[in-house]
Amino acid sequence: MNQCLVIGQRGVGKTYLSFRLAQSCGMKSVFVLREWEDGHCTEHVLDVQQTLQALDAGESHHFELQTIGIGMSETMAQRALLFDSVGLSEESAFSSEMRSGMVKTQKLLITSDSICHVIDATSLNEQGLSPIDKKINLLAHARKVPYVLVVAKVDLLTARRKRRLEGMLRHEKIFFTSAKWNRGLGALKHFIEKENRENYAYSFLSRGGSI
Amino acid sequence: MTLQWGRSPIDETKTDAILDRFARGKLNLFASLDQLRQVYEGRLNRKKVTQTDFFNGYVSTQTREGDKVTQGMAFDAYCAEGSFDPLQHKEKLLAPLHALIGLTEVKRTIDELYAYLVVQGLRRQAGLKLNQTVLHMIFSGRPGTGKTTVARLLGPVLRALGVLSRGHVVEVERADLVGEYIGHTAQKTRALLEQAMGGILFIDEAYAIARGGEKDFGREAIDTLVKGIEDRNRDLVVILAGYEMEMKYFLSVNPGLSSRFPLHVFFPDYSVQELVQIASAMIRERQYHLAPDGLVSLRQQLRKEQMQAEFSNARTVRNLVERAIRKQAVRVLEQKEQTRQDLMTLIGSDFRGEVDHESMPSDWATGSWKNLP
Repeated sequence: MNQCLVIGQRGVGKTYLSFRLAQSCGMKSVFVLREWEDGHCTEHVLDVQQTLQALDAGESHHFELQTIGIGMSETMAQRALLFDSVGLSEESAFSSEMRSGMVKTQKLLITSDSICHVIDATSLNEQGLSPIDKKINLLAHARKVPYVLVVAKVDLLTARRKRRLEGMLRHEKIFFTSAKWNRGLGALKHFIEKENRENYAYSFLSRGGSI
Repeated sequence: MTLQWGRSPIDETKTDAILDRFARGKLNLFASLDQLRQVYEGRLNRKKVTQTDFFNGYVSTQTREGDKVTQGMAFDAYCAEGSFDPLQHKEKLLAPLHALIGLTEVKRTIDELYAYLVVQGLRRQAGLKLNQTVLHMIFSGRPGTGKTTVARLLGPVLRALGVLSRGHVVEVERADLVGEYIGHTAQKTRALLEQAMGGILFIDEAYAIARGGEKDFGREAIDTLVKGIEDRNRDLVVILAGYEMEMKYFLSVNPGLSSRFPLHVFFPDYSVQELVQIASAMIRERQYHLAPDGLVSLRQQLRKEQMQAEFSNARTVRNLVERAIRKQAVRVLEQKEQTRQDLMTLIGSDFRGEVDHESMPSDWATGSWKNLP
């Protein structure tokens, strides 16, 4: 089972993107494991459509880590695990609960098989990635795992600005997505599927086949 | 396609130490991410220069820069260096191979090979004499029997056992080896051998190299290959794959080839039951399911297909399933209303009819192999 980490700063739309991905894989409901800030762990079977509606309505969430199992169509009965992690930010690291969530996120950054790094299209400036995103980017490249930069909320960009961003990030593998309008998710899904298929043997062996 | 397995292994001790300091507030987020990056960049650099082998004497344990490494320590792709125990990890290492449907004989051969390599390692540790082992192999069998799949799974296994330093698989065919003008072939073949160093060079449909006759550059490719294998008998495994009859002819072209490929693995045809299992897995994976009459039709169709000369095992099953999905789509669209159940169900009529044999080898179609010695 391939383990894909969805990482990014706070409020970039990681959770929404994860559920949209599950939806684009044809899943109506997903099994979700949530680890909360106070340390306890809960299991849920969530209706994807309802969850997306709730997130659309602005429902906030306070879990440290959300593990979502999604079915992949192209792989021989192999499922992928999406880790929807706590957003990394220096300001929120002052709270001890958030800090323990960030420890989990960083640990997953080291152990996961592929990394989807979500950035907010509207927050990108002329200097490129923000300092924290740069650090995540460098660490993912150092690990040499499949890494993709997901530029979310692309519906808020003008075509000209989008072209500018494409030029700025030309050295990265990027996907422009809009989870709200369900755009660009097919390509991202295919990327995860491809990695899942190719790296099945590797991921199985690397963790001793214990998953 | 080249599969690369060259990721840096996880250093849990250092990672945990850094994250522990971050959790206790001794490090800020930037410093923590920076230190983690340094750990993994460092590991990667170290791995680049390390080429450790399993057979001492036959294959020595040295780094590329000539530094001696502790003798007898197998390079391990998945655990911390030196902590790998092949006896304990056998099940885990061979799990992807054992997960394949059918191929009982092939699995047994690979198991034997595994046991042999482990025992060689133990013999070396005990100071006993080692057998000269050549691991170049010939995979023969009809199309779609899993030759390529098994080769891809072997890479990580041989790497974990320390036979190969990288364990990647370079898949090539005639066009990649044979050049267009005098001297070009040797150059291309040598470049591919270099690229495959530390891993597996998998030559698919290898018999095609010898196809062109006396004046073809294919002969030059074979000669270069034989010479290359002789020069690089360490840290490289070459696998020649192809249909059985054609491979026999191919080995007769150059007398040196047969003796350099001592391991012959035969991939038998799948039984109908195994083919049904493969089809069911493919159907399930595509989020469809079989109606009871669909299963009966599938089995009948597979029996019929097995009688055909151009039957290509799992590849025919794939074609059969894909054609059934297309036919199901037409059928469902003709209905007035489509329920979720309709969208997922494959019935008997979806499987009936002719299958496209897109994987049929062109040589069989032209009959050019019928006149072979």
